[in-house]
Amino acid sequence: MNITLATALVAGLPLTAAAVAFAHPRVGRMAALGTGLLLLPVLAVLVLEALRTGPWRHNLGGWTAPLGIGWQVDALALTLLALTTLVALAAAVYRVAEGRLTRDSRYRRYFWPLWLFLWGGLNALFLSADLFNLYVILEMVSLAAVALIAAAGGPALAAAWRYFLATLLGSTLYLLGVALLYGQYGALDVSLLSGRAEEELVTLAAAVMITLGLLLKGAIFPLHFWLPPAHGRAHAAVSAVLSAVVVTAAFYLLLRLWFGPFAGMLPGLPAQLLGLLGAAAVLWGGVLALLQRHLKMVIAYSTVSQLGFALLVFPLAAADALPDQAHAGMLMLLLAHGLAKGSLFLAAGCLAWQWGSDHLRRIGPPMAGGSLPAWIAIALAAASLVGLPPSGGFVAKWWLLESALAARAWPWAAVIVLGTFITAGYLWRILRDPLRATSVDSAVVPAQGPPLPIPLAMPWAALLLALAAIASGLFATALRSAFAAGGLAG
Amino acid sequence: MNATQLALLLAVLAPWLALTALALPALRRRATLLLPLAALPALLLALAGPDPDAGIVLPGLLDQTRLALDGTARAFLLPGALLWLLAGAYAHRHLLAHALRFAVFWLLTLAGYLLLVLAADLLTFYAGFALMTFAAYGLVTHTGSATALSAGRLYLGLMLIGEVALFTAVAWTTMLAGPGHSPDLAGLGADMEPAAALLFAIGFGLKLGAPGLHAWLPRAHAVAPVPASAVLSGVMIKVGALGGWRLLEGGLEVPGHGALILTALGLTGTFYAVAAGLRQPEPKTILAWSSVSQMGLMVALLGMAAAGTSAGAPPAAVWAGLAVMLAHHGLAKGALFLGTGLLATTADRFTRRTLLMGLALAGAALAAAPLSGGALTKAALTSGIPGWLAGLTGTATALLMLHFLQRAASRPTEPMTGQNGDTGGTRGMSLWWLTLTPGLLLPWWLADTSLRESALTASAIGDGLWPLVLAGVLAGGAWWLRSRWPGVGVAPARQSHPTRGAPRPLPGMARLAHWWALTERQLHRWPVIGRTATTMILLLALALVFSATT
Amino acid sequence: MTLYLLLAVALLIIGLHGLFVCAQLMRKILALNVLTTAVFLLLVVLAQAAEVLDPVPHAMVLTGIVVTVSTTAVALGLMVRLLERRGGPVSGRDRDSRNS
Repeated sequence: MNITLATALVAGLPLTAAAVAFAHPRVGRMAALGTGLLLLPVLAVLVLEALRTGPWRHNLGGWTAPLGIGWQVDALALTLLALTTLVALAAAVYRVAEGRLTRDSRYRRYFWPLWLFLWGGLNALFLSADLFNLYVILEMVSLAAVALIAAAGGPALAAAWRYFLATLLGSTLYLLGVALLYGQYGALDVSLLSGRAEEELVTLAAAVMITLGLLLKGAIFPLHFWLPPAHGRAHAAVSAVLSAVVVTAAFYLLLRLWFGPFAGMLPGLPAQLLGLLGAAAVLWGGVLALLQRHLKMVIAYSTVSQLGFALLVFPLAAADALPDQAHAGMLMLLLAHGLAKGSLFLAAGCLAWQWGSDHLRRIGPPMAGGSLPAWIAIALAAASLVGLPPSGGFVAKWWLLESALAARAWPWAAVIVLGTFITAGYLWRILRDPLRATSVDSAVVPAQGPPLPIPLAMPWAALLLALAAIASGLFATALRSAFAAGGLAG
Repeated sequence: MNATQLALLLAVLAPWLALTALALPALRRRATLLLPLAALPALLLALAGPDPDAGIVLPGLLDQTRLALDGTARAFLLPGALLWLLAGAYAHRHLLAHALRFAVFWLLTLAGYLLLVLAADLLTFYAGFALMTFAAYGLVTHTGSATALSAGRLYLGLMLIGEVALFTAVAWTTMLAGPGHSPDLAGLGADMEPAAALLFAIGFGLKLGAPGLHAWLPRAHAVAPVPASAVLSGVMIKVGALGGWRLLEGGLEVPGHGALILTALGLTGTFYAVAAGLRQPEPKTILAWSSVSQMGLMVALLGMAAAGTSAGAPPAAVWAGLAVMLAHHGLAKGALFLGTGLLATTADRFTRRTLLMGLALAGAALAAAPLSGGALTKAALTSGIPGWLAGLTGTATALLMLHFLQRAASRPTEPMTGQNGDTGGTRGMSLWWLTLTPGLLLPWWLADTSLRESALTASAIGDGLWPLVLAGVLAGGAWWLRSRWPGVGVAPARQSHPTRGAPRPLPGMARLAHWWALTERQLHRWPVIGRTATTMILLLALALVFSATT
Repeated sequence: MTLYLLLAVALLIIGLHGLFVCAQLMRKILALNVLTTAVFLLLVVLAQAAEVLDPVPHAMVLTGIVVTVSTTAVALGLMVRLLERRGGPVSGRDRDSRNS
C-alpha cells in the first residue's frame, strides 16, 4: 500500500465513517466496527515502514513546513495510534453488544458519528506536527468527548459541563502560548520551532501557558478535578476511550513540546517540578481511589494516579543517566495503562449491567451467572496496573526504575516503589469483596437476586484488552527494539 | 530440539495445558484430577537428572526467557515435583468445596513454581516467583473463613513488601548488567551492590519465613486446606532458599559479619520457633512453627555457605546438606501435613494408630534421628557449628514433634465435608505412605558419599541418639509435672481472637481519610481551581525563570 | 501597540476571573468567550508587529472564530440540557462555584 495513502487513511477513515454514520444512522455500528478493522492493516503498513526506514515526516499536499502542515510518524505516534485503535475497537464491540440491552433513546443516533469523530480527531492529533492544527484538533476531540459524556444523561450532564469548561480553558491557554510562540519565531511547526526556540521571556511565557493548558486537559494533579466525575459517570465504553487515550493525548502533546521546542529549558527545576506533580498525583489519586465506593470511581481516580507515573519521565529523561530507558518506560506505561484501563472500564460496565450497580459491595462473585470473564479481565488488568511480571505494567515500571536507579534519583525511585503499594491497595479493594463473597460463610454479601445475562461479546472485549496488556509485557524486547527503530525520544 | 529440551518445555507448560483443559466442561467437574498430572512431566524431568547444557531459549518472550535444569534446580525440583504430585493426588481424593477454584489457583501456583525453579535468567525467575506468590493467596484463603481471610491479608501484605523489594533489586541488577536485559542466574551474585543484595535478602527472607520475617507463616499454614499447607510448607517457602542459593552460588560476597549474623539469626530462630510452637494447641499450627524452626536451620546453612563464599568457595558439604534438607524436610513436612488431614477425618482405630506411627517416623526424621535424612542435614550442619548445638536443635525439634503427636492424637475426628466422601481406607493410606517413604529414603539417594559415610559412622549414630533421649526425658518430665499440677505450663488461650478477623483501622486513619476527601472536594470548587491554576502558573514561571538565570 | 497588548492582558484577566468566580452558567460561557477574544486580539497585534503584514495570524483568528462559534453552540446546548434537568431558571448557578 502507498505510504502516503496509508497515512491519510489513519485520520481520514474515521472522519469519513463519521459523516456516513451521521447521514445514515442505521449503519453507524457497522461504520465503527469496519473502521477499526480497516485501521489495523493500515497501521500495520505504517509500523512496518517505520521499522524499515525509521521515523519520517509527511508534508500534506506537498507543501513544506513554514507554509504547509506536516505530519510526523515515529515510535511515539505509532504506539499511541495502535493503542487508540485497539481500545476504540474493543470499546466499539462492547458498545454494539451493549446496544441490545438498551432501549432507544433520543440521542442514540448521534452516538456513532460522535464516536468516530472523536476517533478521527485522536488519530489526527497523534500525527500532526503543526501547533495551530493541533489546537483545532484538540477542540474537535474535546467537543466529541463532551458530547459523548453528556450522552449518558442524568448526573453525567454536570460532569460533562465541568469537563467542557476545563478543557476549553485548557485549549485557550494552549492557543495563547501558540500565539506567543508564533509572534516570536514566526513558525508553527514543531520541528521548525525546535530549531529556533531560545530561552527568552516570551518562550518562557508560552511554555507556562501551554503547559498549564495541557495539564488541565490531561487532568494532572492538582487540576484533575474534572476527571473522576466525567470518567466515572459516562458510559463504560466512553470512559474506556477517555481514560485510555484522550487524557493520554494531552500528555502526548506535553511530551512533544517539552522534548521538542522547550527541550532546552527542561533540565533543572522545571523537570523536577513536573516530576513533583507526578509524584503528588500518584499519591493523591491513589489515596482517593482507596476511598471510593463505586467501581468506576476507583478506576477513574486510578487514572489520575497512573498518569503521575508517566510524568516522572521528565526528571528521569532530563537526568541524562539512562534517558532512552526512561522514554521507553514511559511509552510502555502509556500503552500498558491504556490497555489495562480500557479493560477495567469495560469490565466494570459489564458488572454494572449484571448487578444493577457498580457499588463495590453490590457487584457479585466471579462464579455467579457468567460474570467470570469480566472478573478475569479485572484480575489481569489489575496485575498489569500493579506491575506484576510479565505484564506491560511491570516492564514499564522496570524500565522507569532502572532509569531512576541509574540516575541515583532515589526520590523518584521511591515514588515508583511506593506507588506500587497504593495501586495494589485500591485494586485489592476491588478484588477483595467478590473473593469474600465466594467464601463458605458468605454473610457479607447482600442478597440481590441473580445477575442479568449480558451478551458474551461485552466481557470478552474487556478480556482481550487485558490480555493485550499482559502480552505487551511478554513481548517487551520486541517492542523495545521497535521503539528504538522508530526514533524513541521525540 | 533434543529430548531434554522437549521435556523442559513440557514440564513448564504442563500446568498451563491443564488450565486450558479446564475449558472443557467435562473436565471442569473433575478438575482436581488434573492436579497430580500437571506435576508429572516435571517429576520425570527431575528424575532424568540435571543437564545444564540442554537449556532452551524462548526468543522474544520477556528478555529471551531461558530455561535450564542445572544441579541446583534439580535439587529443588525433584522433591518439589514429587510433593506437588502427591499433594495434588491427595487433593483429588479428599476435596473440598469449590474444587474448580482450588484447581485453578493450584495450577497457577504450580506454574509459577516450575517456571522459577527452571528459570536460567533473572527476569523469568522473578516472573515465576511473583506468579507463585500471588496465586498462592487463593490457596491460603480457600476456605473463606474470617480467620483465613485475615491470615490471607497478612500473607498478601507481607508478600507485597517482599515482591516490591525483589522488584527493586531486580531493576537494580539489570540496570547494572545492561538496561532492559535480563542477566543469567549463573554468576548473578558477583559484584552485586550491598543494597541490592539486602533487598534480595528481604524478598527471599519473607518467602522463606526467615526468623524475624516469619509472621505470616504460622497463620497462613494453619488456615490453608491440607494439601495446600503441604505444598506451602514443603515446597513453596523453600523458594526463598533457592534465591539465596543462586546468589551465593553466583559469587555473592556477604560483607563484614553478615555470614555470621545469618547463622546466628537462623539458629536463634530455630529455638524461638520451637518455643512458640509448644504453646500452640492446633496440630497444623504446630507444624507451621516447626517449619519456621527448620527454615531457621536453612538460614543458618545459608549463612555458613556465605561464610564459605567470602573465604573462597562455599564448602561442598554445606550445599549437599542443603540439598538433602530440601528433600527430607519437604517430603517429611508434606507427609506430616497430609497425615494430620487424614487423621482428623479417620475414625478407624487401627488406621489411626498406623497413621500416628507414620507421623512419629516423619517427626523423628525431622528431629535428626540416626539413619534419617535429618541426620544427614545435621552432619552438614556440624561443619560450621559445634556438634552439641546441632544436637540441641534436634532436641528442640523432637520436643515440638512430641507435642504435635500428642495434640494430633487427642484431637477428635471431624466429619468430612468434601465431595469424595470415601475417606481414609487403604487407598488414601497407600497414597500417604507413598509420600512418607520417599521422604525417608530420597535424602540418602541424593546425598553424596562423604556425607553418607559421615552420617553412618558409629559415633555419628551415637551422637544422634542423645538429643532424642534428652527430648524424651524433658517431655516425660513435663508430662509428670503436668499430671501432678494441672495447669502448669499451659499457655493462656491465644488462638481465639474474635476480633482478629475484622480489619482494625489504625488510629487517626479515619480522620486522615476524612481530611483527604474534604480537601479533594475543595479542589473541585471553581474559585479554588482558579487559585490552584494561578499558583501553578506562578510556580511554573518561577521554575523556568530560575533555571534560565542560573 | 502596547495599548492593545495591555488590553489583551486585561481581557485575559477578566475572562479568567469570570470563569472561576462567576457562579452563573451563562456568565461562565461568556467569560470563556472573553478569554478567546483576548487571544485573538493578541494574534492580530502580533500580525501588525511584523514588518510586512503577516497573513497567517489572520487565518488563525478566522479559524479560531469558527471554532469558538461551534464550542459556544455546544456549551449553550449543554447548559440548556443541564438546566432542564435541574428544573431551575435559565440564570442557573454552578453548584461548585458557591463561595462557602
